[in-house]
Amino acid sequence: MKKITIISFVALAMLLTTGCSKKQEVKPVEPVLEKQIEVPVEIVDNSAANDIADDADSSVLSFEQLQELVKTVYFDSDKYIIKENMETVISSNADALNKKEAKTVSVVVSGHCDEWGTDEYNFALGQKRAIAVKNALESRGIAGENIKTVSKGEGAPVCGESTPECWSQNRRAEIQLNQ
Amino acid sequence: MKIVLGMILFVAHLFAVDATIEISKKKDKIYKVMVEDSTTKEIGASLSKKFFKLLLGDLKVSSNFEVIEDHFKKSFDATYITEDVLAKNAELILRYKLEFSDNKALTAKVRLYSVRSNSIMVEKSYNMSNTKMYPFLSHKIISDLNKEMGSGSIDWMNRYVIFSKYTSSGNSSIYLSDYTLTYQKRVVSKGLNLFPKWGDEEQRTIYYTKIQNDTPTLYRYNLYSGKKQLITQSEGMLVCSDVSEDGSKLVLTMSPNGLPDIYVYDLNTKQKQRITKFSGIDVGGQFVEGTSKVVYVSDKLGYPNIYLANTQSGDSQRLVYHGKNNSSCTANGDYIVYSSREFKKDSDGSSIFNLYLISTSSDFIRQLTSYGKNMFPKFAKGSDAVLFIKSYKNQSSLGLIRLNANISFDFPLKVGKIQSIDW
Repeated sequence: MKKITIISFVALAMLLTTGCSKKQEVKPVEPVLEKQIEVPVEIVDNSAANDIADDADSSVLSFEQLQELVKTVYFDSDKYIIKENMETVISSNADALNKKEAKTVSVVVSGHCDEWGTDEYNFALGQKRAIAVKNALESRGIAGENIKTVSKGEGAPVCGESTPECWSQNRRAEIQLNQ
Repeated sequence: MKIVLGMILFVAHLFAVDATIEISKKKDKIYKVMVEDSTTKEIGASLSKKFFKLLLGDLKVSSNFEVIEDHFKKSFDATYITEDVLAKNAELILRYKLEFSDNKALTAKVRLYSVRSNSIMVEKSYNMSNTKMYPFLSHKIISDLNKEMGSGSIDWMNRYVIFSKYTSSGNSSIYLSDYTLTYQKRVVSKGLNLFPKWGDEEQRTIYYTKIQNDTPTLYRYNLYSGKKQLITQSEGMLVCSDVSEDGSKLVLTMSPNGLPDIYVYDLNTKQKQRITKFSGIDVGGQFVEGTSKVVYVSDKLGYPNIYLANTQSGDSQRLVYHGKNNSSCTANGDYIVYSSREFKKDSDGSSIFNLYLISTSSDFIRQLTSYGKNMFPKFAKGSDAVLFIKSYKNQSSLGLIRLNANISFDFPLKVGKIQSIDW
């Protein structure tokens, strides 16, 4: 009985919107019609239509989109304290990692340095930067056991020139997601 | 046992006088030497020229000769006393001849001639099957001549140097080299291969860190058999900073709990003993006075500085009371050389990092360099020679200090950015 009611409403709506001169191709965006005719919630029991409606409304993030949401955190020279202007980056990173799509990914925070400093000390500095970001994410509700840290010292620069601009780009902690 | 005793006596002899206060070694005589090249044409002009330069460099580094820099070509059996010899007031003539043997090995015939006694003092010949290793031929000739002249041993010249250099972002390879970095052979590649450290006195094995799936992993690698053995892993960072004289213990910097701390790792029991517990940065541990103490770098006062920890009690004390950035050190016996950033700037406005020598058994400090950025000091095992990297006005060079002779040398670097070095 419910199905008959729905079909009647749908047919009426199609007549009103398209007229009778042409045969209308059935489009897959059926839920739009449902909304237009304000079908009472209690009679919507078509599970297939439900699935389509859920996907369209909640805009599920792909893994790549999720990775794009997490941003690099930058540090001052020889420091591993998170700067004030990086707090918003940390917060938005935490928001991204709190999304349901992030529940199944593992997180690696890698710490990096500029070319200054000595070999071992630079690697330790990178590690402290990675840990600082991990701790900040934990304080915003991200489970620490899902976050791995690694220091790459000055070994993986994003900028290879010997300029202050380059050095500031290389003093960073990157968040890499793994499926 | 004899070897161990010999080593002890050797080191004791080198440091019989406190090197932190005894600036210059008293020499009986420094001979003025002329180098004459009798190399055959088949060797080629390039190798011939490089070898001559290496010989001159080795003679200077030995610090036992005053070297006449002119490149004289002479037949190997020609008369020794010539106008050139007299004009230059040469006291010794080092004449050598490079040629290929029938089996394509590189051979060198060497004579050391005394002008004063008008006689050949030393005559030797050498054979090297791998021509690419010719720098070691030069080092061997000069270290042998040094010995024949009765001077202190400079056999450290013959040792290999192991270093890691960055090849691209996220990649660094490990190379085997001579002390001038002229000879280079890649032994480990692909990915980040870091902090190579000699594993034994014979220089057959190395320890190094590979970042593998974002996990630092420490390997022991036999350069001759190619056998690779996983020693341990740690999240965050893992570095083998030093190996005990008997090869049974390692000083590691690792961060299993996220924080970089110093550990002593016993290879026999596979037990790790945590030495430092500071929540900041503790790195670069080096055994001092056997394995009873470890000198290391810590930022516990807000900037990197040098500290000494007792490996049994864990008690720690500050060693250096000047400078605001003392971030690398090397130890040999109870001697420590460290790098310190100065308050004054270089002529181009950049920071100066100088090297200093201290001893755990005295309060004296000796400044070893005066300009440029002098970093990554490394003692050659059991010697008075310290290797370091010098940067000055966009030029990097390999620096070498002979502590007892108070002489330093620079070799311009053309190898890219060195990550870490050991010899």
